[in-house]
Amino acid sequence: MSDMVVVVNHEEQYSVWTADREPPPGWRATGFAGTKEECLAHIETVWTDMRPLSARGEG
Amino acid sequence: MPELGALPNVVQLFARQAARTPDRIALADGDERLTYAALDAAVNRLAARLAAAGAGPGVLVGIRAPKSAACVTAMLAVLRTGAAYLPLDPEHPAARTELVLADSGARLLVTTGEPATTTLPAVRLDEDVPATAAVPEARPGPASPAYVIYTSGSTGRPKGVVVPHGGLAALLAGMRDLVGSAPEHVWLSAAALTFDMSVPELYLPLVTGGRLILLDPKAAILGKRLAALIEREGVTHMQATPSGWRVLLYAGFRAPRLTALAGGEALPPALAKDLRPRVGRLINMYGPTEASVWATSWEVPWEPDTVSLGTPLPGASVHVVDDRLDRVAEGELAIGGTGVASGYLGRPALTAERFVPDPYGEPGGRLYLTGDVVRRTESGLEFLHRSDTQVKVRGYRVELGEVEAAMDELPGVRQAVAAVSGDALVAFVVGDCPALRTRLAATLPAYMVPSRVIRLDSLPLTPNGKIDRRALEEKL
Repeated sequence: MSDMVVVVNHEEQYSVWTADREPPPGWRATGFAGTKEECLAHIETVWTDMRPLSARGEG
Repeated sequence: MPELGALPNVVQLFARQAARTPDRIALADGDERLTYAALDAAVNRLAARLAAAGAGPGVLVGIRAPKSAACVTAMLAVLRTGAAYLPLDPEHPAARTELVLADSGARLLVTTGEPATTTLPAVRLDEDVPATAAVPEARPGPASPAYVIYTSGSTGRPKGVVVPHGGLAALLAGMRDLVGSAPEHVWLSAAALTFDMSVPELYLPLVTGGRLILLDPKAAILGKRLAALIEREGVTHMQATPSGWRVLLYAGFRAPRLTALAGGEALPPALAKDLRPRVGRLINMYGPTEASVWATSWEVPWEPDTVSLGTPLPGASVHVVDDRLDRVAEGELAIGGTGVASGYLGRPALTAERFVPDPYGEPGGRLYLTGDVVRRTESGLEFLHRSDTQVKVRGYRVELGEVEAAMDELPGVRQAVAAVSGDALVAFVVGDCPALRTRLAATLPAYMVPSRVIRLDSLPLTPNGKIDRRALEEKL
């Protein structure tokens, strides 16, 4: 059952969203879908730099 | 051009204040008094030493020292270099400090006297070395981390909440709006530095020209002495947990000019009623570490019948939602706005699960799901219960799962369950484990060590085979 999708915002922060609805403004689906647990496990592997994008140039 | 809507960060605010009122007393720690100019100079000297030792943007610096003027200087000095700080309680067991330091990826440690317990390079706070170089100017943006505070984790591992400068600035602006600010304001800070309630009480006076009175958290349990200190120093603002206020009430304290802020755990209506006539103003504060300390407030009226979480501070938004994030009358409390933290350090899945897209706020914004189940009422929000097994013990957030995981680690323990009874943690243990409390105290902070241990032959189970927590609580 794939009822959730992985979404990401302008700060490259990841989260999950229900598959049957458009993500809210400012969020886009990455293409990964699955159960909530599968989505979170996927995020654990792809979200390797957790600093918000706008804070990354600093150090 | 400054970023639209960005508030000045705490470092800029303090520097401006120091330039404006150099000769006023900024901070009192026992008999020690520091003017704004003296504190600013001490911050600059230490910041130069920290920068030379590697502190700067993108770096996390641990601070392990008793609460003192030197400690506050260190917090501001770390921020001035552009680094973020991680407060560590010197009273916590060394094993826990090591665990937190390793998990956090801190690259530098600021300490007093005692030998450092880790392999990290350390800067000694009790040596005042003249600055040899200027501090490179750092301009941390709103998304840059300001501090990391560890809270209890349900799977047995504490988690570090990363609070950015934007969240801290929003908190200070919101608090200023709530209680005002004036050079005559005297704030008493009694919270431990590892407890994020300390954040507004330390910084708000220092960025608004007021005076900060530091008190060691251990001394705050002495009601009569604390009441005398409030009177002697002319304290006008103070935060405490409901348990802390109760200590003052028992000591017969009365402070008609005091703005009393209660937070960290639910304020019982009977206590609110007793406390209200003793103080000038009583405000119930609510918020998780993940929303930069305080998110809502409620002005307690004379003769309160119930206690409300109230309404959001400026910059925060609150929504009562179901599991599809649709708004409902009774459900989980979600917090949005400028105070939402960056997430849990090095924990992508956990962050993604609790910090979710905000369908009601700015594009790309996030809501923090608090796990607090609440109901909308006329006066704001009413707390009902937790959606998990997180509890509050004297204001500290404790995940029962973390206490249980620590007990499971001990040889001889077959099964262990933790529960809360009034102000105390209680353990139910199946198996044999002599000196359980002493052994737990080697890995857990004191507030997470159960004060009572009840031995059982087996744990009661629910019809579907889970541990029956309700049946256990009935044994108390």
